Amino acid sequence: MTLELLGAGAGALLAKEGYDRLGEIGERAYREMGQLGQDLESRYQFQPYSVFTPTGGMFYAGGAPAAQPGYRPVPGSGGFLPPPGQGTEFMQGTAGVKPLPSAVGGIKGGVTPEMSTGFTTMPGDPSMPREMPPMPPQGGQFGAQLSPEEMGFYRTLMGGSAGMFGRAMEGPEAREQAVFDRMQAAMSPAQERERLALEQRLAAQGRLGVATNMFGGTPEGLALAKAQEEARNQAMLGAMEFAGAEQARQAQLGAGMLSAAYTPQQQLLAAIAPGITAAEQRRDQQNVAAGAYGETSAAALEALLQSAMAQGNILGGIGANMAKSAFGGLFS
Amino acid sequence: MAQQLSSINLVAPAFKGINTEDSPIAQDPSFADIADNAVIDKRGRIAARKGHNVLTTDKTALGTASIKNIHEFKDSSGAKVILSVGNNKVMTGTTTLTDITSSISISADNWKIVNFNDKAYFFQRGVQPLVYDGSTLSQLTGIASTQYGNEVISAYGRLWTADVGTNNKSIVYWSDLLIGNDWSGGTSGRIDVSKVWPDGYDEIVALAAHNGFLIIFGKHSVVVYKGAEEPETMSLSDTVAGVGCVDRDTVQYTGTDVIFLSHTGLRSFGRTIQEKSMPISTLSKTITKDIIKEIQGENTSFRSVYSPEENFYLLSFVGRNTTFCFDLRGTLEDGSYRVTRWPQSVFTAYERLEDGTLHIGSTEGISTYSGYQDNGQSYRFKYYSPSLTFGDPSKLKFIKKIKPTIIGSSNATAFIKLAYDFSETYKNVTFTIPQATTVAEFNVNEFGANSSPLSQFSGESKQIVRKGLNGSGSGSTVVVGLESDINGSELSLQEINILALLGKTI
Repeated sequence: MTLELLGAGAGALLAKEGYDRLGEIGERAYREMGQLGQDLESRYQFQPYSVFTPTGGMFYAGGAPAAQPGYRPVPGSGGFLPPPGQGTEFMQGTAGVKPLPSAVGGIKGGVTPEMSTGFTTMPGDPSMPREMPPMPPQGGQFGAQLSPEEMGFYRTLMGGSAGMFGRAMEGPEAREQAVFDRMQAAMSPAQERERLALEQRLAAQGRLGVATNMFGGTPEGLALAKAQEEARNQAMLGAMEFAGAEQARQAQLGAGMLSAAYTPQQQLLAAIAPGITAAEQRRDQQNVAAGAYGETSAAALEALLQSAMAQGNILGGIGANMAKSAFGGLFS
Repeated sequence: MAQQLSSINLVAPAFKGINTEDSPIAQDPSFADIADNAVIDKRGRIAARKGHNVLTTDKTALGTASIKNIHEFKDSSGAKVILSVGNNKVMTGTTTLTDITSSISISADNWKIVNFNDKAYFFQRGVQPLVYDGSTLSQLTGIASTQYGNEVISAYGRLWTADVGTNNKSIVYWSDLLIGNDWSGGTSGRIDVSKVWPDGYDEIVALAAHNGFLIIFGKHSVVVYKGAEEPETMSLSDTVAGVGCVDRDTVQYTGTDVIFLSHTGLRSFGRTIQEKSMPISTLSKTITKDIIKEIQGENTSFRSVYSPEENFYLLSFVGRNTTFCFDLRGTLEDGSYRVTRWPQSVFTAYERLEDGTLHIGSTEGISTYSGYQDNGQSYRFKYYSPSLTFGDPSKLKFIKKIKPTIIGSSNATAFIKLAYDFSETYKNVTFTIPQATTVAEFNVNEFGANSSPLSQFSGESKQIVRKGLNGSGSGSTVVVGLESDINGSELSLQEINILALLGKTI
């Protein structure tokens, strides 16, 4: 009977050992999976990168490029002004500021991973640092930067566009009058010559003093005055049409200049597309590697759990059988 | 020893008219020193002018004033009315002067009257014009006071006026086409010729229309416009400097030319334009100084008339009571017209009617230029030759016989006058022209038996008198004259035959 009790007790102890092992295996699996998750999180984390164009433009994502010499901090704003003669500036966002290279790119572009520090760039008046919009959480920042030449081109065209639109929106009267005055000035010498010729002709004919009810003066005088008035009316209408067409043309030019002003940006964006693609490919590769790592780690962990569970089950089975055998002898 | 008498014939004496410009000694005997109340008759002889036969029997409306203008009004229906002005009235008729002035107040009689589109228009400076429509006289409307011109003509379908006032002496106004009472509408207009005068300044005196030209006479220049049918486009054709017109009433149309009086004598427009005012072109060269004296002395008015029937142009200096008669049949070698003088002329107006009758105005009313009495009174015909030398001024001439050949002047007393060596003391030889025998034929109808009234013809009561008269006196130069009172009969001087004895050389 004692043996039997011992057997039952041993069996119970084995079953408990099996039970505890299973519990430990679960906790280990939990820890390992947690560690794997953390590991994968770090592996999937966004990697900052910058794209440089051959014309000096730059795009960056997830972090600022390295500080470049020559940039001057704007006191109290946290921004940077470009070196004298260059139209680029960098403004501080919510994070630290790192000035960008002023003439990077040159004839050669590229993609560089950077540390994410969170900043952005804005074109604008170099002497007037601008208030920056709220920055997205770290890692989501991105920005683009034109070269000084491109920025100058941009500003020139933007200024021109503003001027064109400004003139296009002005009232036409002043311009009509100006155009009419110029047309009159152009016509006046000929009209004066015609008037003098008529005067000379009438004087030669002794008709300077003719005044008729039908014509006011002479028929020739009326014809000349009529012709000149018609020319004047034509000039007036022409001036009105010209002013309207000019305004339309100015609006068109303004639109064209406005569109052209964004050409550097469009070209920058177009130019960085391959860089972005390369970065994305790199990131995809990282994702694949991280996925493979995760899957491998999970499979290993699962295999470990399976083996640990089998061990626990074995111990549990042995303990159960021993206990059964012991209790079976007692009651048999 | 007796000497032979020299016979000198003055054939057609004075048929060249008066010449007071050349030296009397060197003159052609065909000129006359005096030719008073004379004309050049159709045969080229000097003859007595006709008289004026007064038609007016009732001149109550005229009073003691004189007729200042006579005008024959004719309308398109053929109606004719004789209009006359005087005593600040407008009158009609010839025997009885009927006042048609009505309530219109008139303060001056210097009217110029023209017919235009069935109406007669009266213009004088600064006075509202009048218009007569064949029955009624009224003041002209449609014309501004600045257009009350002194001169008016009817030409090219319009009325034209000029010479308005002191400050308006260079503007010619024309009316609307065929509308005499529209001076501001239609095709009316004006032309200021102040910048056209060739001398820089002048004043319009008279207008004339001739051969498509509008002739503007200034005081010292003439401006001619062509294409006046369309006044708005008419243009200067010619200008003449230095020749102007003295008075609007001296301008007369001869059909082929326009005659006017300039300050240096009578001129013809055609020749003035042709010769550009050369002094030689004057038509009164033989009396230049005389006519200038008359012009300068005249302060009343000028009157003139052209009579193609009589072939003369009469120019009267009314205030000087002198009339010059220019014979237009031909001209002398220097282009002058033959001219005679009518002194003591009382003629104050002329009008040649359509039928050729020449009407004359005077204080007696309206007369016709006919007969050989001035309103029943005789008048003196005078002829005086220039100083004759008979070809040798160095020898004395003893006039022995004078034999004038006179035609007409029945029963008149004639006086032959002789003066020697420029003396004005004349030796008279008086003789009487015998009564002429009148040959007449009555009741002969040349134009058909049934014509009425019956035509009658009478022979001219002309006679030819050749009477030898004894002369007296002597001298190196001789002036021969003939005077006769014209009292009902005509008189022509055909020739004067002089028998002279040439004496010693002095």
